[in-house]
Amino acid sequence: MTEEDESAFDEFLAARSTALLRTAILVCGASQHDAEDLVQGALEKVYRHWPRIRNDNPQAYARRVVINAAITVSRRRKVIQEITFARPPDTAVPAFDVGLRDALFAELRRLPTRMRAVLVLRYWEDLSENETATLMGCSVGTVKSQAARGLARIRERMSSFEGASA
Amino acid sequence: MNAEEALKEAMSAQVADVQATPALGGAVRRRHRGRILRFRTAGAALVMVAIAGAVPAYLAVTSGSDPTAAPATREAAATVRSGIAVPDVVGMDAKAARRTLEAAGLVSQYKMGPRSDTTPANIVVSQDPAAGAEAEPGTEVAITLPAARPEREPQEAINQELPPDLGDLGEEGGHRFAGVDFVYLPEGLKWTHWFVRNTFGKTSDSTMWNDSGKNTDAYGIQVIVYSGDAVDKISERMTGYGKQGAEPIDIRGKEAYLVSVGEAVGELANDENTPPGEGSTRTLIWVVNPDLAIELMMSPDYAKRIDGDAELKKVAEALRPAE
Repeated sequence: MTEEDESAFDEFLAARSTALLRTAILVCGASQHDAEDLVQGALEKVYRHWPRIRNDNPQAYARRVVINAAITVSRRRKVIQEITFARPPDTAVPAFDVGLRDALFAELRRLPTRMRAVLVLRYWEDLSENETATLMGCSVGTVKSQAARGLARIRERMSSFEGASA
Repeated sequence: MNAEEALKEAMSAQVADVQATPALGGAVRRRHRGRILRFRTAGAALVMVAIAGAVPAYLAVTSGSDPTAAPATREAAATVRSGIAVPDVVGMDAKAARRTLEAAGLVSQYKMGPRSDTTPANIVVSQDPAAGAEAEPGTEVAITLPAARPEREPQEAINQELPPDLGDLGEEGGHRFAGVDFVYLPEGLKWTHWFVRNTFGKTSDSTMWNDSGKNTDAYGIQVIVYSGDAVDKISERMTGYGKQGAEPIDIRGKEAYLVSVGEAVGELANDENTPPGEGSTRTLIWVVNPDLAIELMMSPDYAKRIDGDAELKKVAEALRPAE
């Protein structure tokens, strides 16, 4: 790595790391602390290949690494949770004062990991169906159906929330 | 609102406060070095086994028939060397400290310390182990940098709820804004759901009230709450008012100025700077404590309808820094 590579990497971090961190938090539903660890690991990969990828859309590469890591972490956590909660946890009815935003985010966290990743990429990162498919390594059709099913769940939650607070 | 928008908003709200730390670059590089170190150590161990196993193997390595073996031998030598004196890196900037430690065969680990008013965020304030201590090669030396001061970006918010750290105006019975409890306001004034941060100097917050409670209408009373460095600026401005001939008044034991000001900051309204027909603004300004100054302004239109000066004084006498 040349001095110039190093400073270009620093610039890349300054410009992109907050967005990557936010995406990681949304995809794996983790705390900022856990997500930071994940993003650091992903960025180490970026750093390792930096001289090769820096001129070839490093942002897309970094995003893919982060998403994959987030999906892996999220699945692992789910397994742990399922083991811990061998008995299903009490699903308390949310209090009325819980905001719609919180309710929707909670619903987002309950979605299957890859479905959640599709929603984050499509509606938070504003990627196209094509870009999302490339990044997730699946077909455009899968992106469409996952997004539609995820949105349907969100919509359902919205209407039940509106019904409850009316 | 459709589901896509609602979802996007929920996601935005969830991560709005998330910021990557400036220490991230250091953490990534540290991980990278940690990884490299593991590889090299493993490689070195293999060569050592070869040396122990058979002399011809050792000769083969040094004869240069295998170009990859030579660096590994050097690493092998490095792993058996020990007792590096830790260099002194306190006072260096973070990059120089990293290079110095690396050159000595040590690994730097950035740590974030408390915020400092005197030391910039990229200067090492302490290290562990201390300078001169003996350490094995590859030992992590923790170097502490002061946390960066939070950026204070100007921000305007319209028709939003106050963030909890800024107060509770708009809630039932809420009267707190920017660390000040506005216990009294003239009857009928409503909060307008408008506020700006860091617009009147780097550390200031401002909001307003009027009859309608709508921020599309003119203000009745506007307040600017100054803290930190901005307080000094207010002291200077008050001294200036005194020099221009204004007489101080007393607000709960503090010197204050109740003056008419025009457009120009720091100048009392006079015939020159305030064209006839354009009202000047009655302004009450004082320093409450070394970290808090307040500027209350009443719009000329509103002042015509009430006893403006008396109301400004009542607001000022009643307000209290929040506990």
